[in-house]
Amino acid sequence: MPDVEQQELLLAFVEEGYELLDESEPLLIELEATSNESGEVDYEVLNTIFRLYHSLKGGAGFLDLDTVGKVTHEAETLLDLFRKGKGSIEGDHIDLLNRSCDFLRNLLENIEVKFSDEGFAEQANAIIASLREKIAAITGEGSAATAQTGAELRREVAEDATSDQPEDEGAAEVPQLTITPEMVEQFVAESEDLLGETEEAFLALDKDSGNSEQLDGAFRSLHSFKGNAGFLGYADLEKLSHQAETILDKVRMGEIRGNSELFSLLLEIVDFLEDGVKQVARGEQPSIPAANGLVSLMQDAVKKFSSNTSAGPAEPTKEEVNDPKAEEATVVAEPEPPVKAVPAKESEPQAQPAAKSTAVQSAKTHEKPAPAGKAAAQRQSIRVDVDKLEILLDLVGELVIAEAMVAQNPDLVDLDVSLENFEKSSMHLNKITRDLQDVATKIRMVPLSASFRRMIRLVRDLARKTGKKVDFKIVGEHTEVDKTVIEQIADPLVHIIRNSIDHGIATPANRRELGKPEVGKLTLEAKYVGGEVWISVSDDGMGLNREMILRKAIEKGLVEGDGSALPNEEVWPLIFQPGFSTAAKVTDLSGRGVGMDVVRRNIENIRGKVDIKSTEGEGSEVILRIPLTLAIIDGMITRVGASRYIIPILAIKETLRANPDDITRTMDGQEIIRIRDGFYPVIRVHELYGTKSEYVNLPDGIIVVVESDGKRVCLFVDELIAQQQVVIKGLSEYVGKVSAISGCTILADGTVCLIVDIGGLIAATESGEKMIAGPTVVDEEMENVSA
Amino acid sequence: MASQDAQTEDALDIIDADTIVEDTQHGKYLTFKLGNEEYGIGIRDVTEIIGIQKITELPDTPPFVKGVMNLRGRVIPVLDVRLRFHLEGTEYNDRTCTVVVNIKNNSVGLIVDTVSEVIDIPDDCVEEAPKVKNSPSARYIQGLGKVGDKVKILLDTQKLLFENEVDQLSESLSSN
Repeated sequence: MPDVEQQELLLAFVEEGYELLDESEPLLIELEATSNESGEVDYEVLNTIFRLYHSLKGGAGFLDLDTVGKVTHEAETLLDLFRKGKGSIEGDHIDLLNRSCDFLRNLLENIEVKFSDEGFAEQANAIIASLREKIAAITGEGSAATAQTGAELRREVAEDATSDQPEDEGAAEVPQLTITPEMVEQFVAESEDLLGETEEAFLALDKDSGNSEQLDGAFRSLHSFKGNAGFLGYADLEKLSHQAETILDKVRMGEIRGNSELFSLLLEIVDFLEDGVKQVARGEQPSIPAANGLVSLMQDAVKKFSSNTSAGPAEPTKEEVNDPKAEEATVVAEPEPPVKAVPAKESEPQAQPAAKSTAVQSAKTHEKPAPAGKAAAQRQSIRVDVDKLEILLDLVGELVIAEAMVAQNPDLVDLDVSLENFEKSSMHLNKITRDLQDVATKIRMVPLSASFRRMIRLVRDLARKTGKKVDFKIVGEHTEVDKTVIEQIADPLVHIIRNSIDHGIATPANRRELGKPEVGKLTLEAKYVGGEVWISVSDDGMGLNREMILRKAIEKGLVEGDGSALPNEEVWPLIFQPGFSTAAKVTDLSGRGVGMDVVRRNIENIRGKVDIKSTEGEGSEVILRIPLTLAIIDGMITRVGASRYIIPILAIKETLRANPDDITRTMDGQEIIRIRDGFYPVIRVHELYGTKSEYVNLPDGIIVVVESDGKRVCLFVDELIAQQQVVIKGLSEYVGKVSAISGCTILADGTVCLIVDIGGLIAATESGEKMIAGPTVVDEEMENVSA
Repeated sequence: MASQDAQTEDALDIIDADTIVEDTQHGKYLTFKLGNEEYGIGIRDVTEIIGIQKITELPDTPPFVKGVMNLRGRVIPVLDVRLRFHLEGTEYNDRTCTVVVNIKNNSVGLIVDTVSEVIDIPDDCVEEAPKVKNSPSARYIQGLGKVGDKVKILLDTQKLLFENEVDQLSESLSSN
């Protein structure tokens, strides 16, 4: 019985195998139909089938499933003949291929249970024999087909993976293939993941070049990428990735030593490949102008780092360096069969988050394979269009409302019968609806790991560029946030980290003088705090320079006087001003003063806040405080006159009825309430929003004490209605941002209810700004409207 | 403008040739009343017509933005077209309609006195509106459509929704 990890791989293979078979069966039928009708072969379909078989074969080879490998290989050979235009497709052929599909399905079933494909030799031989018969009938040289050696088998596989090599006959077929936009899209999405995995592996290898697991991972990802690029005819991408793969292979074989310089080069190559993929995403044919230069650079690197240039086993090395075709041969002779994406996915759980980050995912994905066991192997994920998710969420939102409308239908009140059964069913419905809402909301939650891991590379590059030493730590990468958050924090993180390394952490020499360790500490951390996710970047660098910031602010007219009275909390945010930079000169890293502006804007877009803590000489910390979910909040529904407003529960400190003795009125009419030992200003919500309230006297209504940023105010409302979770909806792009309103929700009765933005409300009151209200209330009574 | 004319001619050619008209919505307008005048908007922008819904008003918005309403789970803004044209507002009644239009993926409800009908106004029956100075609302007019002896004021839905915003934006930018 294979070990747990192997079992997992096998299960993954079985799963993938079923999918491949499911996909190829109808295609075979289609192929037959078209060739019967028109006598012509549909090359697109044929190529697809070929690829499916090929994937299956690749996976089987990797897992030592010989029977599967042999059968798929023969089927593939037959298909290849058709692909090359030799022989015509007949019903017999399709029957046979279908039979092989059925047989493979049996094998897969067996593997699923016994983790092996042994014991089917007879059936396998029968199918292989019939396949060979057909092949022989077409080629007329049956003996040659049967006498294929293992090495030749592999050669074919390798050729297919890199099918635009000039000597490959299959190359001629490639242009015939119609490349659909979906294929390109798929390629871009996959490539981003694959290159991300590769990059990550390289970074790990940079630290520990002997890490064979990472090396294999990088090799596999790169290989899959190469295969995809070759399939779509992106020659430059294929060439580069092929060369990089060759280097990796040599490292793997111990022919060359992996070192930092080598991996830097490889990382650069990955960058070029990423650029190429971006070109593809834009709908262009990717071209990397420096491709040839890069290839020779890599070849030079191979020579340079060769561990034993004179030794015997290195013989192929020399050949390859000079002759790209010979390199092809080396890959062919490589004992490890080429690996398709199938096993790479499951055997590389560390890199997996990146691959799935855009798709539906559960937090458990990150668990190491060992404890996750069998369940982990059967885990499935699919890529889903975000638009579809949004529609789902909208529908669920509507369902929640509709459910409430049914359960609380006024008609029920008039019924003069027992509603016991109805109540039971409606409770059940209610529960399901809530669960559904929970699930739907969670779908949008994605772990931060992919975004965080991208920073590893950034830190490394920046540190090298600036000659600084940085120890980069990631904490809490599994923290999940809404997908929108992921999109919005990528840029801010880059800017903050750049700042930390460029301005914060000093050079090793400087740090030594200051009595600090040479290696600077940089920590990227995510954690849940209350209803927020805090993403912080902290360093033990020099901290923000108060004098310099103030001087610059005064220069720009942002601060009056010498600013010495300003507390730090007000000085630090000055760096968020557009164009604000204290850097003496603009470097290619920072200094233009754009970065922090981007940080603040992006974070505000997702209703977040940015805090800065800094101690001069000891370091600084930038905290991005982002609401946990952008979709749901706990709210208190309050009534003010005919309107209802939702106040976020998190902001509410207490609610009370004012005692007339505690109310003080200042000469400018501002009411102040004394609550225990504190005095708090009263904001009449109706005045703020320009509506009417039911009560005029404070003691008649309810006082809601709210707090934001350490400031407390009392909101005066008529009544508290209920506390409930509400789905936040935007106020439509058309309306844009409304001050002191953070969004709205739809209540059970279908009315739209505004959600009060406490921070904005306090800020608006402080600045003395009056809100411009719509002319009059429009409610059920349909009041008279006049401009 | 020239290109638009060319397009128009093309469209006519298609009709003359008695082939399948590709754009079946072309030249069709939804007409509605504001006071005594009839207005029309291109039917292609209209997604539905509903009665007046409960509107939640928004602070901090121009007077013609009446607020937001719930359209089957979606929150969409509602504009009062009368107020948009600086006409006198009127009481909403059961004839008042909300025309939901969709422009650039923004659904917006337009409140009008009453919806009349959907009519065909061929392009050759559409005249350019005479230019009058100091008419802030003139820019919303796409043309004047002749239907029998009556005139429908055809509106440019996109401008109706967005024009002013741009102005406000440039105003606020220049005032900074």
